[in-house]
Amino acid sequence: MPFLGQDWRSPGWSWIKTEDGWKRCDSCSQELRSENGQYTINHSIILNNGEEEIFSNECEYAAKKRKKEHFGNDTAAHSFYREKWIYVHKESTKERHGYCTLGEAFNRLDFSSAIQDIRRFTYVVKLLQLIAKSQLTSLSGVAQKNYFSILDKIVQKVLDDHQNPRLIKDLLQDLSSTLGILVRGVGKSVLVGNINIWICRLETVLNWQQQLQNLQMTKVNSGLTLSDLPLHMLNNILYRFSDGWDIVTLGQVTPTLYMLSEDRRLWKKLCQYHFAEKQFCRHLILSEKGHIEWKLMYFTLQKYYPTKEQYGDTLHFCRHCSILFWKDYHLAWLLKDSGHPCTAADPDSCFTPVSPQHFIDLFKF
Amino acid sequence: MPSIRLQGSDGEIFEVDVELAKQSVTIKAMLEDLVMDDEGDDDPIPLTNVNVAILKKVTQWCTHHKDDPPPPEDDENKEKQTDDITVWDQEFLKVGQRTLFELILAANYLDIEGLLNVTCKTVASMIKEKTEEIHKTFTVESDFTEEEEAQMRKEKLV
Repeated sequence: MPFLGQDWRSPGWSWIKTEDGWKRCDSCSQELRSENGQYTINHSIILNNGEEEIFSNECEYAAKKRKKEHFGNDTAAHSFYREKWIYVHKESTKERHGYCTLGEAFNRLDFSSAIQDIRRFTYVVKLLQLIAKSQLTSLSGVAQKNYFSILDKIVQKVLDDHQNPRLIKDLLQDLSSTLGILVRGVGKSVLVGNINIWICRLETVLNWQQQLQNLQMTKVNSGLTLSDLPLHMLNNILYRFSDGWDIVTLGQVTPTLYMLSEDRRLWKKLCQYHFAEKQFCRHLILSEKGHIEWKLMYFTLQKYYPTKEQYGDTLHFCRHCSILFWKDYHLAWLLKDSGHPCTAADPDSCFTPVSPQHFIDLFKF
Repeated sequence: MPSIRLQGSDGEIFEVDVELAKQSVTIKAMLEDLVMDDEGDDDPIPLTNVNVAILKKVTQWCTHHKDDPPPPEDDENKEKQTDDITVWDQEFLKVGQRTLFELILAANYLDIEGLLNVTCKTVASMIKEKTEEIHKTFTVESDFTEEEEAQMRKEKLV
């Protein structure tokens, strides 16, 4: 069996065991460390297992470039992480360029580091939610393991920093109801893997739901509170909410906030953000004086139409190479690297952002 | 690089590079006034609403963002986005609640748009999706009477 190293004389790769499976450890990072002693690299560069030659060549090139670029300039270097990408083939021919199902994409796109970045967090959670609603039965064993391990990380993160609790509660609700139906109803014929594993997973999900339910924030006696902020600051914050319930809930805390939360312009902006003019006209609600009741309209419209989805960062699809990848703006600036080995003449024009639903659709045949 | 001296609310003097200080519209305006007066430039600029510890944090932020392009015109869509914060800013703002609020007040007083934006986004993302019980950790005890609270609970059923 020929040894497929960088060249036939190389001593081979070193591997480290991670919770996502065995990963190849890049020796470039050791080289860099010895030659450029003053630059510290906190994360060793880890290559995904099973990458093709082209990826390892890219790493070499990237490593050389890094030696030339002044790595120490940027104190954010410690947040450098390796790009992941997957080829998505569109036509169902007999030849395939690699294994590309939803589960495989899930493995390769490294969502576990993506959730640490708040720009990608909501996007990944939405993806998990869509998978929970309809795609659980299409995941392979490894993909299932990854799915639940990422979910575990997400739940721990929420229990830790208390951010986005409602989002995760919705996700767990969808997941537990789907799992309930699958385990008790359709069951063994559809689920991949031993039914007992699925029952265990259902119990874990119910456990997580219970933990989130009991989530208490400890009161911090810090002296400075929301009430110390001037009115226009509180207003500034209110205008940043994209969910009406957040405005209502905040308004219930003090009379000042209540007054600010009842402001008509606030609700008008919210309606205009989520819904179109045509939709307003169909559900117009007027007060006795003839003014538009924007707050009532918001909650009415919400029942009929989907609200706007917006994410800090999403996966991108390169139409030229037919590759799905994360864009890393920092890397892109530093190394002129778009996140995947792109062969297009004008890379930027080929990239489109991928919505969560679009991601699921890419893998449907 | 020429530097100017700022005096915090606690009386302490803090020296900072002029170009960095000009990211603050308030300081920039004060400097323009001082030049007009043509007084000795040894007097530190008094900043009665900011203490030096927070000034140091603000300077740290300004140093990292000194080469930022000016923000685009008010984008309607961007207003509702609370998660488009760079990784550096995310790490920078991993501070206690008190420091975060002090940073907002400082950014407001010194009129530094970028810092104000990113701190308000952070507070908004901390507050959202929580219940009003948890909101009380962010603020003082409710000033509502019992009847008012009951009334509001009824209205919430809208």
